[in-house]
Amino acid sequence: MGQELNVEVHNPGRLKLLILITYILLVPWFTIWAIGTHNFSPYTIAIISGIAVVGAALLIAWAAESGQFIVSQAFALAVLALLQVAPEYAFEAVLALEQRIHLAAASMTGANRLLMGLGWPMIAFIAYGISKFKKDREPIKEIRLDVSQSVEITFLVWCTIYSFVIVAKGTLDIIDVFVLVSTYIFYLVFCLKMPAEELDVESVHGPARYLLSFGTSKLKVAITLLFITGGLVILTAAEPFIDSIVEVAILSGISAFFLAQWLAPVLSEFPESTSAFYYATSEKLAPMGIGNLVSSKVNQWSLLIGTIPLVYSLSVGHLAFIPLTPLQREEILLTGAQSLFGVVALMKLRFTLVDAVLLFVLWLLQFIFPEIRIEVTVIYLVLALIEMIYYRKENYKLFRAFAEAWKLAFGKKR
Amino acid sequence: MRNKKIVIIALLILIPLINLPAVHSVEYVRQAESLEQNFPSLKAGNYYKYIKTMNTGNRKIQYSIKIEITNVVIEEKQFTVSYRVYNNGTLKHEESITCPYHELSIKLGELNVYNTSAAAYDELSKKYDKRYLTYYWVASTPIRALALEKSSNSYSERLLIDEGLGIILELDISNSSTTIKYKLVESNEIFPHLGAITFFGILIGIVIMSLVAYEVKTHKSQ
Repeated sequence: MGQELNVEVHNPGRLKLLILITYILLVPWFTIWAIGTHNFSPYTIAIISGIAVVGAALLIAWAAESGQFIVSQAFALAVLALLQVAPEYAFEAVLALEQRIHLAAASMTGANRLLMGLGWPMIAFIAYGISKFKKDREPIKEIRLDVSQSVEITFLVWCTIYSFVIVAKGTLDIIDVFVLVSTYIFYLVFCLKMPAEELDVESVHGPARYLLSFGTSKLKVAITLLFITGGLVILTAAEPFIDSIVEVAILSGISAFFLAQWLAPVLSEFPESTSAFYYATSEKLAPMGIGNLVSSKVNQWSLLIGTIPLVYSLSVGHLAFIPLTPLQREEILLTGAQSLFGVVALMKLRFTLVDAVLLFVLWLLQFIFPEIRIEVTVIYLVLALIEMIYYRKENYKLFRAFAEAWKLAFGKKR
Repeated sequence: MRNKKIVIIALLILIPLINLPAVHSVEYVRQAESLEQNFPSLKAGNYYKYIKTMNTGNRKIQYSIKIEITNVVIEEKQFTVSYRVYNNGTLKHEESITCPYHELSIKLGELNVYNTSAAAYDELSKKYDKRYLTYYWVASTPIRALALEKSSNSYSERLLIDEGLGIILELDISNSSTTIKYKLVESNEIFPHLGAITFFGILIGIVIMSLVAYEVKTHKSQ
């Protein structure tokens, strides 16, 4: 920490330009915001604020990625990881605060399913595609995960079980806040208790790598600037963006639920996915790509869902239950079932091309034909059961790895 | 160069023009969304089937009532719901009613549908003596229900409302001579096997977590 990093950057001019272009993308939004959003049509606001949100999410992601090298591991885990998902939280918080729960549920389930149904398979597809073009080696048909990733996977199993409990209860309430936020805190504590891993500068790419080539003091200033700019955009644009996409949806006869479920998550997940897809291009880094997206899932299932009832209660003025409609229950159930199949697929600590194809095809099916969500839910659960039984011997790898991690974190120190 | 200037001027004129109808329709959009949020039960094509039982002295009458929403028209200040009522499968009543947004409840034939906002439930509860939460089962699916009760002299009423949908799940009305009971038995909005599927998911999850816990326990003792 604090030491000068010796980082080699190829083509720094191009990376500098990329940061500059991202800043330029924010200018139209700040102009509209200064003039007053009420003077513009929802179409204009949706496009300009959407672009700004992507730009801000990129700035925050670069700052967080490079920031982990100059702060303690605890700070990186607790604060940087949270800042990285700030755009998504901002959308959810705005919706919960405005008591637009049907849209909050749509965005929350959409973001979750997008990450697993499209994000995870893309990593396997990219890794396979790139390795197939390299004639000197065998194509990568599976991504072997590191045993340390058993912690995230096991926490994801727990969060997934709890999502089924939410469906059974039919509400989101303060009990969920307690359980889910405690889960997230316990997850953080667990990670902090684990022996610190050496951060590898080689895994950092793009503008974040360019930032690391600065001296420590210059790097700190740059990171602060990126966070402030990104934060300002998120703070000012999240609400108008959500409002405008709902208005655009209703004015154009598209379902607002559909736009909130898919458009908002696509924009907020963009930076995270970009990094993960970059990792997928290298055989060595591909497990990290999956690992990053698994961590994001834990984050979404615990803290993101856990904060919705809290923010809603704040807006109502007293502790309030959020009753879920049948559609919302079915959506959460589908998301939980997908998550269960996803974690079961990772239990053998290998993510195969077949798993990726299944996740992707089923995601695509429910995306194109949302009315078959119950059928897709059942298929996910049956597949989870089949995979669990079929790989029963290999699955013990996860249990053993987690037990080992538990011992390392909470066992008696010698 | 000249062309560029023309393009820039055209754009400067076009942008305000495009934005001119700037959102007179915002209010309409908000209302439309609030209807979806506050009255999720009112969607064209939805139906709610009840069994009505009437007891008067020694006489008992029982038949089914099906309320079907046929159309919902959203207007700027109000909305119109068209619905049909079938008794034992025969069309009995057809009507379109216009209501302002943020209404606490809307009467469709003999039964109400309720506004699902927290404020509306608080307001509704004031009309009753007792309020509590319970679960109502449609096949394997538990539905969280708001129970409201009131009684005065010989009259008593017990109402169970689906908190999420705002529809009546059960309604018992009785006075000294008559007891009337409505019980929801079917709706295309409520999937009766949701509970069983959820339980299946929980079961798989519990098996995994038990195996993890067992491994942690045995590993600890080694």
